[in-house]
Amino acid sequence: MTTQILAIPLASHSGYTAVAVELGLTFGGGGPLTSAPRVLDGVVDDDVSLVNAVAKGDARALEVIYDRYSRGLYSLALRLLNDGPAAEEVVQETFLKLWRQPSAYQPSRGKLLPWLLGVGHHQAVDVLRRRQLEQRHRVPPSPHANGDALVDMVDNLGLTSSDGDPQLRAGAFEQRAAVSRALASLSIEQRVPLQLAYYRGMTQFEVATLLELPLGTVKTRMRLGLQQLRKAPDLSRLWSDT
Amino acid sequence: MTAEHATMTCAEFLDAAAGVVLDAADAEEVERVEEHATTCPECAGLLDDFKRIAAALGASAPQVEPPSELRGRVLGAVAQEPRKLAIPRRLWPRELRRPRISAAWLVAAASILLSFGALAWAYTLQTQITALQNQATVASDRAARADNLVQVLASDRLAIRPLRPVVQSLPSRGMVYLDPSSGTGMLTCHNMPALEQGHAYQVWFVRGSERISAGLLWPDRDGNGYTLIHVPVDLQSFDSIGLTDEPGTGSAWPTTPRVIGTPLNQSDQ
Repeated sequence: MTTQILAIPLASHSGYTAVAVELGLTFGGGGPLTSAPRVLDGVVDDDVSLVNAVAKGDARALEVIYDRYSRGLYSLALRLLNDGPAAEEVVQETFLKLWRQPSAYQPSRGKLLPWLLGVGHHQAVDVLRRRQLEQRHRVPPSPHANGDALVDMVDNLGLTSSDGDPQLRAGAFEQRAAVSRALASLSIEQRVPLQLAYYRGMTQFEVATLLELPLGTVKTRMRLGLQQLRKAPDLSRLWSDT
Repeated sequence: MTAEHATMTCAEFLDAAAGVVLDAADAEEVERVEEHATTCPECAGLLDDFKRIAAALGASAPQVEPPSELRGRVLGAVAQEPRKLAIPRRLWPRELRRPRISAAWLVAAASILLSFGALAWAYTLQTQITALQNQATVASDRAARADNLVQVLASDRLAIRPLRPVVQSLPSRGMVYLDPSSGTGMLTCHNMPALEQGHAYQVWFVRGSERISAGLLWPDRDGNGYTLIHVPVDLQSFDSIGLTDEPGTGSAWPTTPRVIGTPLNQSDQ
């Protein structure tokens, strides 16, 4: 199979924000601070060209995309599922989706990594909901199990994101800090529904039930939260072209 | 955005789009949002923005390298999956695949199929009703148990403090959520040292030489647990909070050294 990948001029490495470098959003992937323009069959690749190559059946292009973004995708799936094999399954299904249907990614609507994360999140949430359904059918709800789930939920909400996370204090992950700063700027009324939905895979109805709020209120709070995050400079820069 | 479209207004779209990008909306709403986005470029742009924000939440997950063998597995799965499905060849001549069937047989077959279909439909409905009843029970149970917690979390005066071990080499940690307005709080702990049988950790508020018991906590075998605690209304006058190992019936005064705790007289967040 002949690889046909277009050469697209790259921005200079120094043009990336630290967040973008940390996230592996720079060309070449491979992790923080190791990124360099990747050459495939003599030409430099970029995401759009790679997806075009995937559309033509070029498995090597998919390999490059895998090397670039599998880490971010696996990390998200693991965060949601807390289960290595299930997270691996999500990664596999996400890349298979790109392979089967590359046209589902539209470059005009955003970068490849956010799209992959969106697909991966959707898959992981499906797994979470299947698990919940299976548990409901197999095991009668026990007070202890519910209590554990509740504690786990609260511990993972990041309510103390402004000062309680040792990793943030150590400055280990700048992108986490950027998102946490933005989240911390939200009121607790907006933050909790957003986090319950995104990180716990709860539906709006479930969030409304848990918080004993009208469904419309939960929808509005989620929307206000996202609109607020949209204004956060750290986040608006995160997927920028710089 | 004032335009109205067939399925949903732009204002309705805003609320619904948030649920869609968080994967928290139902299938019908997803469809309506996508339909509206195809007819309203402004809302489509907003939807893309929301998707980027949601992805940013995803990118904030602690970064973990996937197992090295996963790469081979994914690429192997791709290699085994040709993009275009091969069209199966006919295994027998066309005329052999079209036996003649009388109208009476067709009617009988259709009746049987309809009967089976009705039975399957009834079974599906019954299964759905049972599942919904289970869901309602679980949701109701969960909501009831979350009452106190939600009250704590939603408080305007919520104070959150990490609990750290007194002996630094201990891996124990915890978190306490205090709501003096309702007099309720929640305390979680992890990796606590194992207790003797019949013992519990007792939570204390400390003010000068005064010790006020706030509740008892029985961690599980891994040293993890949580409890709802009583919070003094005059919380700001207390110096610290701590946990000590006590008999399971509770003590009037701490009888062992503090295991984890935190000062309380710091400004909140």
